[in-house]
Amino acid sequence: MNRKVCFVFVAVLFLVLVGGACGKRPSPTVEKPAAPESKEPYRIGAILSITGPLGALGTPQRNAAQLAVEVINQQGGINGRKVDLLVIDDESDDTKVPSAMLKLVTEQKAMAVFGPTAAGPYPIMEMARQYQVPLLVPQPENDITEVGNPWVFRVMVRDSRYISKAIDYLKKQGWDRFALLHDSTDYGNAAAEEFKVQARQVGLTISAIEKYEPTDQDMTVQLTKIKKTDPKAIVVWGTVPGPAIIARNAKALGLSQPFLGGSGINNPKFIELAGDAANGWLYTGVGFSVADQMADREYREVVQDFSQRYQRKYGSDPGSFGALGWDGMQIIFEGLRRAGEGKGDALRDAIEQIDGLKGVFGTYRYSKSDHDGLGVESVYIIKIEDGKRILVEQPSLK
Amino acid sequence: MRGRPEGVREFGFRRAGPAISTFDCYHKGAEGKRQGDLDVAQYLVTGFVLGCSYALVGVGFTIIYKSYRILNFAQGEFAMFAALLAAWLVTIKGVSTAVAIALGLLLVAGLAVVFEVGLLRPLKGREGPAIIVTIAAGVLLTGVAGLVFGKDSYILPAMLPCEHPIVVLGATVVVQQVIVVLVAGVTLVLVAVFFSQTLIGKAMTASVDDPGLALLAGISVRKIRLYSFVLSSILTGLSGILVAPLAAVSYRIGPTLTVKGFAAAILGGIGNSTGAAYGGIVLGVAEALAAALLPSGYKDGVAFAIILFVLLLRLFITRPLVTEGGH
Repeated sequence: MNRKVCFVFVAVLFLVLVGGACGKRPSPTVEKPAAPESKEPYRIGAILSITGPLGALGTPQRNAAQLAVEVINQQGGINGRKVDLLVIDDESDDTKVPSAMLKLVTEQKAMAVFGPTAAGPYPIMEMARQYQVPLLVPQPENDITEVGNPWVFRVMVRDSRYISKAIDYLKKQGWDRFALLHDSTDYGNAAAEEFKVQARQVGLTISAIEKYEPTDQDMTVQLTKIKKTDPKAIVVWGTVPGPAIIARNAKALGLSQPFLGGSGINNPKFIELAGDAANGWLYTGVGFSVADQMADREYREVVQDFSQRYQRKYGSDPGSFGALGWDGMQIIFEGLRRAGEGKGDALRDAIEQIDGLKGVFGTYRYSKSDHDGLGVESVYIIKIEDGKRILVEQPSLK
Repeated sequence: MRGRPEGVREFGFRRAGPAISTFDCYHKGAEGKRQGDLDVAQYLVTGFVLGCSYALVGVGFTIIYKSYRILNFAQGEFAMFAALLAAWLVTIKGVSTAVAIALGLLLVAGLAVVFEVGLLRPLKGREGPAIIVTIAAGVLLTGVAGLVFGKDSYILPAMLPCEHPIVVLGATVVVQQVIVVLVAGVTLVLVAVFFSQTLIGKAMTASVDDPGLALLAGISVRKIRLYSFVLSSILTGLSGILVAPLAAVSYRIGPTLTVKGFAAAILGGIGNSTGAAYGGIVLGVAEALAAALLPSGYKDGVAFAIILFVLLLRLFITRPLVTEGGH
């Protein structure tokens, strides 16, 4: 009996110890790129999804952010001070984001925070206000910058801009009657609502709105319904593989209308899965995948410089998430440069003054009233021809 | 993290937005009735082809149900695994399509053996725990597939290098769709013949009807159960592989296929292979018609509606869940 009690005691103790050890695991992966010099370094925080289902997105973000810090420190830092980047892994879990934020702004005294990769930013947006730390969110949901929180900046093109660009192009081409086929995720549903509003504003008619599940195997039925309404163009809003299946079905059905997709198509997988059927598809996307075709030399160089550095260090393609990590850091660096020794209010105001910072995603322009950074001019119409991406219209140089 | 489609994209999308309302803006075209007829043909063809793939999964369900008295809720994951392995081998490893398909089927057969011998046999026929184990196995298979093959979607090249669609009664049919129907049809006939004509098939039926008596007749119920698992997984795997050239496969498609196969199986009267085959086709056509007549977002509700309806019906008219004497 005594032995049994003893055994249970040991077992419980063991569990507590193991539990304690496990509990400590998500503690910050503090990565110090360079030893601090005489002056104290600037401390920047990042909350990224390194592990878990979003790991494939957050990892290039972290790599690119670390690369940016490495580069700036090699160049002597900012205002003579080095930069320290502290990355916390949120494990792709919404509920881990607030504790990570708390750690960064209190314990680690981060002056600005970048993230989260894709987990919910809303609770930490309030914390940014409370602790007076600028928060740079690399996510596209419209409402992130709509809540009127002066501490929150966006480092990405917001959803509605892609739709504005698509509407703009439809109108320009005279495709005043179009059909919309979207997936039934929040992304597709929100886009449908936005399309309805924007189409009405400029006087375009939507002949049909159809949707499909992201796991659907065949969209022939939806396309047949759309065909019946005789639209001049068909807009497809969803992420791969859906649009690729649509392209194949449409080709089999012999639909002659032009197809215009959203940024979900800006993915090499689309061309791979759709094969020949991808030819002639148009989509709205940011410029870096067609940067080599841009007349803007400065922008071309920014993109090339980043992707070459990234390739050299990590041996892989940074993708759009890597690009966001890089751009986020450049914006913080520029803010610190302008703010000098100031932080909090001063740093936030400095970021608001950024006007024309060329990043990989586009040209960032912030102001007191605009925390979105990237305008519709950062979105281009890209066409797929023979499996290659072609820039359809050259943007006017600014 | 909330449910987000994986893959490298530029965009994230969450926000619990309101479900999009029915957008009623169809303009009755001048095409008239004839165009309408053609559309119905198109819906029927699309539904029939998908239905054939559901039928295979449904029959897979019934075969296991007959020998084990359990529902294998990892059924769709088996289909996913076979199709994903085949497509992955072709796309990434450059293996020829035929070899990849054979390997895909072999792998699920092997998985079925491991699954049956390692997980279900030790439970000694306790049905409750066994069903939970199948659910867990499904989750596990999805996770493993995500790790091994990544989060990307793959597509299998067409099995016949014929790109041109055929027009049947005004409906466009791709060659691969014909292959799906033919292969599924032949396979289902073979399965029916196997159960009614071959010794081992009859032994399988016998051991289900009365395991004790079958044992006396020298039939090893253990072996029969193993065989039925392997047969079921190959049918299911075949279903996944057949549609892989039409649709992209990713590690996430398993649960959807499970639901479709389950709906097909219970629509046909669980334990009745022929019924499950018809059930699959009815489900496929019903889905296509639902997508055509209702706003297309409601399409996937059809399978759930069928499951709910049949189960409720059985609850009220207290019939045994198994149709006796079926295949």
